[in-house]
Amino acid sequence: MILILRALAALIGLLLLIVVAAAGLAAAIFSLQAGDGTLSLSQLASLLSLHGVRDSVSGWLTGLEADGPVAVVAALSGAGAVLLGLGLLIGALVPRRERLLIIERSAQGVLSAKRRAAASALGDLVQQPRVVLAAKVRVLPRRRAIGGRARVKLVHAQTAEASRVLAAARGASEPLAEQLSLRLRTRRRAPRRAPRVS
Amino acid sequence: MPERVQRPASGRVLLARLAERAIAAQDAVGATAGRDGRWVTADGDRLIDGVVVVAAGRRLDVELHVVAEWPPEPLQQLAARLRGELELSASYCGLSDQLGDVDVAIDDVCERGDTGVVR
Repeated sequence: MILILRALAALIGLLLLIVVAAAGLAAAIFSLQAGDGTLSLSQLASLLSLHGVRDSVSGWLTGLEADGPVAVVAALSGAGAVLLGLGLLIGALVPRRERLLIIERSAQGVLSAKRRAAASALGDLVQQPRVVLAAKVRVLPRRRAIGGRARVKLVHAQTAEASRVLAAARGASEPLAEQLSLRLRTRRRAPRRAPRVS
Repeated sequence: MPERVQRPASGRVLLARLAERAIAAQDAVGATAGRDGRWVTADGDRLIDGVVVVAAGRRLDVELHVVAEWPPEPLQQLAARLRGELELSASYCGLSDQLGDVDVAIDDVCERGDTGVVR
């Protein structure tokens, strides 16, 4: 739930920024001239048909003041807006908590590791075989349970046999992965060929 | 200038001090306050890095945030040694009835002999 609220707050914040920036830019451009000039605010109002909007909205606003279905809709919309605002506030203000990799849970307490620490240690191990040129490790812990998954992307020398590279990398990293209760998924990629210099 | 009054340390602070010593007694780990200095316990004028003591009912749960040396020894053994050291010193000080869970969090891994510096 909090993830949805956080994503919604980020999206609405971004959209609002874009809208405010566009409105500010339009207002600045249409303030260059005074009176009824092409770049005047009255011209901007007529371009946006604000007079027509006022005419159509005025009837609705009159209905809003009186009791009736319009007032009910307005009250429900207001309550909805308040709830949405509270949700966005929660999404924006609740601190982000990093998900930890739980290694062991016992009566004495919990042993855990940060994702970055686990990924760094695994990354060092999978790069030990000489045929591995680079590695990228991503650790995805389970939400509450022990362990998780580790995705390893290897870049190996073109001369090396793919199966040998994978076996070497897995052999080097599996003891630690088992210790961390991580399920390893290893993928390989040959290095991109550098452009030839003529 | 008025003389500063030394108040007796609370059980929370005493446990944090013992936890600090338990971490310092290990070769392969160092305490870390984390990137934004969140994992600390105030002990008078100073802060105890890497130790957070939280009341859980009548007991005090202790969180130890450590940086492990590379290559890491089996982490379960490391956690067991840290807990054992803390439980032993807590029992010497008569605090074992206050000591609750001892959680160990590996915050980072660093080069050997460099546990004070987060990689």
